[in-house]
Amino acid sequence: MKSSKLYKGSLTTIILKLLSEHDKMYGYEITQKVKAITAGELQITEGALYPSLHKLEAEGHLEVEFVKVNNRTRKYYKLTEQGAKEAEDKLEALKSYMETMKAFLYPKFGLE
Amino acid sequence: MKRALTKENIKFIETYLVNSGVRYLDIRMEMLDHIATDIEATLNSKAISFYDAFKAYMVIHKKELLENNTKLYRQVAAKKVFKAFKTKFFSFAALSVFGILFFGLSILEKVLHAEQFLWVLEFFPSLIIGGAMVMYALSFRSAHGRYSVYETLYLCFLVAHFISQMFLHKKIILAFGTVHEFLVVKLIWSTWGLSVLLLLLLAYKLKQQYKFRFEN
Repeated sequence: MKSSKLYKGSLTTIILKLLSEHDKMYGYEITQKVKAITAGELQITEGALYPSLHKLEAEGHLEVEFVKVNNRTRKYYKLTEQGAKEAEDKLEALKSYMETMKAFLYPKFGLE
Repeated sequence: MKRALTKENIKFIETYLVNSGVRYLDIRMEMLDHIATDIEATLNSKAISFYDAFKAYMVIHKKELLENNTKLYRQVAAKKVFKAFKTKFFSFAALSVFGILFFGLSILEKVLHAEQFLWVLEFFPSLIIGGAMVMYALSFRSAHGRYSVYETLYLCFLVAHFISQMFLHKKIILAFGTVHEFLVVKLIWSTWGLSVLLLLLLAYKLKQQYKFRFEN
């Protein structure tokens, strides 16, 4: 990730949102998708991504599928029902956070 | 036509990861695919050799790739084992097994002499866990490598063995009452026996999963 602690807490939400919009994705694909959507502003590193993916899998939010690709095995991730619910909750929480921060950055005073 | 890495290229990357300390096959497999996919993307966008693309990737990414290799993955493996264990432990089937074990012990208590029953309570768990550990140690290493979750289960067997030595010792058994009133000990033994059986079941299921995913 671009070295900013502001992004660090959002990684789980980013992963869950992407997977909610796609049937299944693999790790490298997730990093490239984020890079493309943010025009290179946000780059998720392997050291940040895979522990998060495995943690979500251990918690039951993601299930995995293994596919043979080009002489190797590729691990795909997809949301479980529990994960889909978690994705909704996380996105709601993020929207609420952004509204709060917006109010803080652009406060309305007095009779405006 | 898009360039894909050859088997030799894949083997090269895997050997590099093994030599860099990435011990567990389930972790290494995913790292290998990530590295290989990035290199393929580079090869398809530039006129560069595989080795130059690999070196260029590692110069930038090696430190981060290998930094959290073991510790974080071991924590996640422990979480997976605990979650699977908890789900199965509080199931109707597990309750039935617990009942069978407790009933079986109660029968043994009635048919055996007091000293014989005491021997069963004290030494039988060691025989079972010892045998399970030997079988586990012999089978867990496949020809292809080691698996993080599987080895975490192995640690659970060691914990179960430690618990059996702590709580199923003659002095402790006798401290719970007379030889013919081993209710608490039977409950402990039945819970312990159920836990070991569940661990064996999890180990078997994992072995089958890994065999399917990594050895086909």
